[in-house]
Amino acid sequence: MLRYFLSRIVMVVPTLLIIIALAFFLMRLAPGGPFDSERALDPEIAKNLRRIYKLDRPLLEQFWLYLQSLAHGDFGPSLHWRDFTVNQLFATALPISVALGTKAMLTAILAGTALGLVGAMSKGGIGPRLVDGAAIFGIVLPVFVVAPLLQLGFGLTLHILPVGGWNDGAWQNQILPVITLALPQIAIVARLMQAALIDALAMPHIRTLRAFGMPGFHITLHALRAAFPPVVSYLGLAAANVLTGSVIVETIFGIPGMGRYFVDGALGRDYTLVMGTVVVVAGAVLLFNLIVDLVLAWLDPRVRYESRS
Amino acid sequence: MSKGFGRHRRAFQCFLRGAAFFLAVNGLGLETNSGVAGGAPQPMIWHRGELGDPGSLDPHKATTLIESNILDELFEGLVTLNARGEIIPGAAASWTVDPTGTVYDFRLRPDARWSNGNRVTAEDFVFAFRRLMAPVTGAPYANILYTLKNAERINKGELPLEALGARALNETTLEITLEHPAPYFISQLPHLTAKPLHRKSIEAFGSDFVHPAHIVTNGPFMLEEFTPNDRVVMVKNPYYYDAAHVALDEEVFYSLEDRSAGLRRFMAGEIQSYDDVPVEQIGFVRSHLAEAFKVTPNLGSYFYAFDTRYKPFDDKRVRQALAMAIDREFLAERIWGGTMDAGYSFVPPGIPSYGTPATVAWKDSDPFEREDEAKKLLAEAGFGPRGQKLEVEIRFNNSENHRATAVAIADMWKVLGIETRLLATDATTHYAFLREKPPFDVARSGWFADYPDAQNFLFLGQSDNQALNAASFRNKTYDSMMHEAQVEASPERRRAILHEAEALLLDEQPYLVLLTYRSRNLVSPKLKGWEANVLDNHPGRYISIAP
Amino acid sequence: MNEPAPMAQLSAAAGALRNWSMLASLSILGLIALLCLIGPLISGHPYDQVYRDYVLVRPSLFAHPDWAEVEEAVSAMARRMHVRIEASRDGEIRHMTLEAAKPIDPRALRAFERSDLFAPARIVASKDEGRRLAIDVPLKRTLFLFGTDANGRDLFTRVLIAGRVSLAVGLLASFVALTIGVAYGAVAGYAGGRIDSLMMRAIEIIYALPFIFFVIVLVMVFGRHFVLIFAAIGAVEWLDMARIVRGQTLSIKQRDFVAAAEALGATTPAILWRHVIPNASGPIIAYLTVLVPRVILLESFVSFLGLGVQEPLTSWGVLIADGARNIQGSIHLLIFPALFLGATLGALQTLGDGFRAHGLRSR
Repeated sequence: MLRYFLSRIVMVVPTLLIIIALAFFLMRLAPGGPFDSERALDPEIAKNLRRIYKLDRPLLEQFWLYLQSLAHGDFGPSLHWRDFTVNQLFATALPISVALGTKAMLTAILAGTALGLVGAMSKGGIGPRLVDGAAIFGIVLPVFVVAPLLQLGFGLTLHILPVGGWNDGAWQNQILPVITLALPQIAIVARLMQAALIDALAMPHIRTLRAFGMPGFHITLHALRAAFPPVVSYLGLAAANVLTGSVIVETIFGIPGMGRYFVDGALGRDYTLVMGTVVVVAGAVLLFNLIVDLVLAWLDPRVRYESRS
Repeated sequence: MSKGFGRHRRAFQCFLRGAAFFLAVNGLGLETNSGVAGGAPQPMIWHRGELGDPGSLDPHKATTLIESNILDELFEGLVTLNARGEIIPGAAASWTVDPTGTVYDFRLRPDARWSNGNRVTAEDFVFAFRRLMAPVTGAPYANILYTLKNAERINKGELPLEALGARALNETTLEITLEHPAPYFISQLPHLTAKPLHRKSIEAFGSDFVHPAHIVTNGPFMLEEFTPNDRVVMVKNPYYYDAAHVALDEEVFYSLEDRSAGLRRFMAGEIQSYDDVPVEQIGFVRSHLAEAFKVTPNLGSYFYAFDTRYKPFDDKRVRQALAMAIDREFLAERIWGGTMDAGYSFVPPGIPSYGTPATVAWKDSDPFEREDEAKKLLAEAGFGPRGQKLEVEIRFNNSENHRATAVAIADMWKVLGIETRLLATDATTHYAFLREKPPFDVARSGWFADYPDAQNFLFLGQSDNQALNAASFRNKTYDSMMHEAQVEASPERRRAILHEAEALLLDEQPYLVLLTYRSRNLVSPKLKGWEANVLDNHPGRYISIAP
Repeated sequence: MNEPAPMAQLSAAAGALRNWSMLASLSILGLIALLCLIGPLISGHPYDQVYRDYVLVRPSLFAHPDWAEVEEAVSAMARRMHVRIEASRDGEIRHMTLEAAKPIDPRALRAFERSDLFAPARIVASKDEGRRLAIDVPLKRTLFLFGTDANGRDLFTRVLIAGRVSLAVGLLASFVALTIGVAYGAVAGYAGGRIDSLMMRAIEIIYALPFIFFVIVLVMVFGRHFVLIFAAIGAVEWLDMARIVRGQTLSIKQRDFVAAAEALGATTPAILWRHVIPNASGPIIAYLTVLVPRVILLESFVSFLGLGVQEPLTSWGVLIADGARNIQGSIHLLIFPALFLGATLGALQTLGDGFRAHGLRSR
C-alpha cells in the first residue's frame, strides 16, 4: 500500500507537465487574444503590446519560457489585471476561495449525510420523499437562481444579512455565499448517501450484526462506514469543483475569489492567468484524489490498489 | 411587478417578521454603511457601485470606463470636468493658443500639489506625455493623443522621445505643439491619456508605482486600497488645491459585474449609486425606484456593421433597404425599456461643437412608405418575390440585450422576405472576429466617444482606420472630407465639412444606425451634487452625502 | 446470495412498474415528452413568432387583448398615423372613425393589419374627401397561457420547444457520460495497479483542462454542429461517474461472489457486467439523476459561448438563465421553465429509485 502511494506522489510531476502542455496549446487554439475588446486597438499598438508580452515569439519558445518561469514559482504577469502578477492575484483570492469552499463542503457533508441517513433509515413514509424533494429543489434551482432569491429574502426583505460584498471577510458576508455553494452539493451528497446506505444496510455483515442484536446506533455507524466510499469518491472532484465552479456565486455576491479568474481569465484570453488557474486546479485535483484514495483504503481495508495477481 | 407577486411577498413578510425581529434583537442586524447617530462625526463615504472591474490604475495602461472613472478621481489633467461634464481648468489655470492653432501655452496653477506635498510642474506633464508615447510603455490608447507633434512616429519607434511636441518652458509653463490644428484638442485633455505622472515615484518603483503604498496622485483623492474583483478605496487628498471644498472623506468603488445583484445592493442601501441597471428589470425599477433612476442621453452609438466588401452588402440599395425596415422606436422603448433613443444619425446628439447631427433622409416618412421603398430598393438589387431570396446572418456578442435586439430585428426584416440567422458568440471571439474580418453579413458593433467630438465617431468610416472600420467602408470622397476636416482650423468650416461627411455616411449606410445610448444610473436621493450629463462623468469632488 | 444478472434485473424491474409511484413518474415523463413533441404544433403560436404588441405579457387564462390594451394600441396608432381615432366598444368588431386634416392615405390602414390586436380593417364609409373614414376592425384574439418573453414570444410554446432540446441534450449527454464513465471506472477499478493508476491520471488531466477552451476548440475543429453539444458535455461529465464507479469496484472486487465467479472461470467482461456493475448500480443511478439536470443547465453556458442552441431555438437552461435575470420584474419567465425541469427531474429520480429498490429486493 505504501509503495502504491509513493508511486502516486512520483507521478504528480509528469501528470502536471502533461496538463500544462495540453492546456497551453489548447488555450492558444481559441480565437481572439488578450487585447481584443470592444474598442479595437490600433494594429501597430497591438503589435507592440504583443512584443512587450512576448506573445509574438514562436509558440514553442513561449511554452519554454513559461515552463522556465514556472520552475521558479512565477506564474507571470496577468494580461488583464496589468498592475498585478498572477501570484499576487492568487495570494489574495486563494485563501478566500479555500475558506468559503471548506465551509461549504463541510456544510454539504454534514447536512447531506444527515439527510441521506434520514432518507435511508426511515422505512417508507415521509422521510425519503422529503429528502428527494429537497434534493430536487437543490439540483433544479441553479446557483444563479438560488443566489438572487437568498439576496431578496435575507437581504432585502428581512434585512438581517448583507446582500453582497466581501467586507474583508466579515462572517455576515459569508453566510449566503456558503449556503449557495453548499446547496447543490448537499443535494448530491444526500442522494448518493441515501443510495449507498440502502445498499449497505442490505449487506451480509450488517444483517449479521442486526441478527446478533447490536444496538441501532452501532449498526448505523457500521452502515455509514460501508456507505461512504461512493460519497468520498464524488467529494474528491467536487472539492475541486467548488473552487472552479464558484464564479456565479462570486459574481453575484461580489466576492474576490478564484472562481472569477477561471472564467474571466478564459473569456478574456488572459493567457498567464488561465495557465495559473490550470496549475491550481491540477494541483487541487491531484491532491484531493490522493486524499480520496487514502480515505477509501481506510474506510474499507479490503480495498487494494495493487493489480490482481 | 404583478399584483399577485406583491401579495405573496407581503404574506411572506408577515410570516417572517417575528423571526426577523428576534434576530435583529440578538444583534444579527447589521450596520452596512449608514452612519450611526451619536459620538464622533462619521466619515462621509461614497459607496459607489460600477459595472466592471478595473484592470489597471496606470493611466497609460487603462482602457475601460471604470478605470477612467477611478483615474479621474486620482489624477487631474491640464483641464478637468465639473459635475455637469463641462470642461473647466484643472492643473492648468489658463492657456493661450497661437494664431496657427498649433501651439498651446498652459500656465499651471501655483498651488497644484501631489499627494506627497511636491509641486505639480510642467516637467511632470512632459514626463507623462513622453512615457505615454514611449514604445516600451505599450499604452493601448496612445493614438488618441497622436494630435501632439511627432507623437505617432515616436510611438512607432521612428523618432526619439525628445522630439515630442511637449516641453516645459519653466516650472509652471507647458508648451504643447500639435501635428496640425485641432479645435477639439482641449476636449481631449480630460482623457486618461493626458494625466500628469509623478516622475520620482515611477523612477523609483517602475511599473509597481501604481500600488497603494507607492502611488502619488494629484487629484482630489489618493489611493488607499485596490483589491481586484472587490473594491478600490480612495481617501481625500489633503494637498489638493480645492480640498477645502471636497466634502467626501472617502470614495469606494465596488466592481459589480452582475447588474441584478447591483440593483439589489442599491436597494439594500449598501451602495449609494450604481452606474447601470439591468434592462430586464426596467419596469420594476421605474415603478419602485422612480426617484433614484436617472436616464440621460449619452455619447454612444449602437449600430450594425455591414460587410461592404462582398455581395450583397456591397450594394448601397440593400444596405438602405435593411436600414429602412427597422422600427427603431420599438427597439428603444420595448426592447431596451426606454434606456436607448431611436438613432437616425451616426453621431449621437449632444456634442456642443457639432450641434444637431445629420440624419437619414427617410427619418420622418411613415413606416409604410419606408417599407414600400425598401421593397423597391431590394427588388432593384435583384432580391424579393421576383428575384433571389436574401439570407442574412447577424453576428453579435452574447451580452446584455444584444440577443433580444437581434431577434426583434430579424422579425422586422421578415416583412421584406429576408431570412435571418442569428449567431451569438462570447465577446472576445466576436471582437477578434471583427479585427480579423473574415467575410460576414452583419455584425453588431457600437462606439462610445473618447472625447466629445464628431470626428471621434465619423473616423469609423475612414478607409485608413483599419482597426475600427468594421464595415470595411471605402469611399474616396468621404476620406478626403475627413482629411480636410482633420486639418481645418476654423471650427465653423470644420463643423460644416463633418456634417457633409455624416450625410454621405448615412446615405451610403455602411453602418446600420440603430440606437443611441442613454446612461442609466441609480442614485440615492441622499447623494447631493450628482448631476446627469452626456459624458456620464460624476466627480466625487462635488459630491456630498446627506445624513 | 444470488446476484441478479442485468437481464433478470430488467425483467424484475418491469414487474416493478406496478408500483404506483413509478407509474406516476413514467406518466409525467411521457406527458412532458409528448407535450414537447406535439405541443408546439397545437399551441397556436410558432415558437419564433414575435408579437410586438405583447412584450412581457403576464401569464393569463384569458385571451388578449383586453379593453385597456385596445385603447392603448388605438391611441398609439393615432399618434403614428397623425389622425384622430374614435373607437366604440361593441363585441368582436370595433367600429372606428378616423379623422385628419389631410385626406387619409388608405395605406395607413395597414397599421391594423400589422398590429397583433386587430385583423385587417375594412373601410365602411369615406367622408370629406377622405378626411373622415369609418372603418370596421375585427379583434384578433390570442391566448398566452404562460405569458410572453422580452421579445413578445409565447412562453408556453417556447418552454415546450426548449424541452425538446433539453431532453435530447440531457438524456443523450447523460447516456454518453454513463456509458463511458461506467465502463472506464469499472475497468480501472477492477484492473487495479498500473492500469488503474494510468487511467485515473488521464481523468485528472482531462478534469484540469479549462472547459471553456475545450468547448471553443471543439467548435473550431468540428464546426458548429448540434451533436457537438453532447460530445462536449458528455466528454466532461463522465469523469465524476468514472471516479464513483471505480471507487465502488475497488471494494466490490474483494467480495466473495467475485472470487467465486473467478474460481468458476468467468471472463473479466462477464464478471464486470454480471457482478460488478449491478452491485454498483445504487450510486450509479443516484448520480445519474443528478447528472441529467446538471447537463441540461450546463448546456446554457455552452450556448452562451455560441456552441449550443442559437436563437430562435432555445433550451430550458437558456430560459432559466433568462428568467433568473428577470427575477424582480417578470418572474413568470423563471417559474415555468423551472417547473418543467423540476417535474422532469422529480420523475427521473423516482423512477431511478424504483428501479434500484426493486433490484435490491429481488437480490
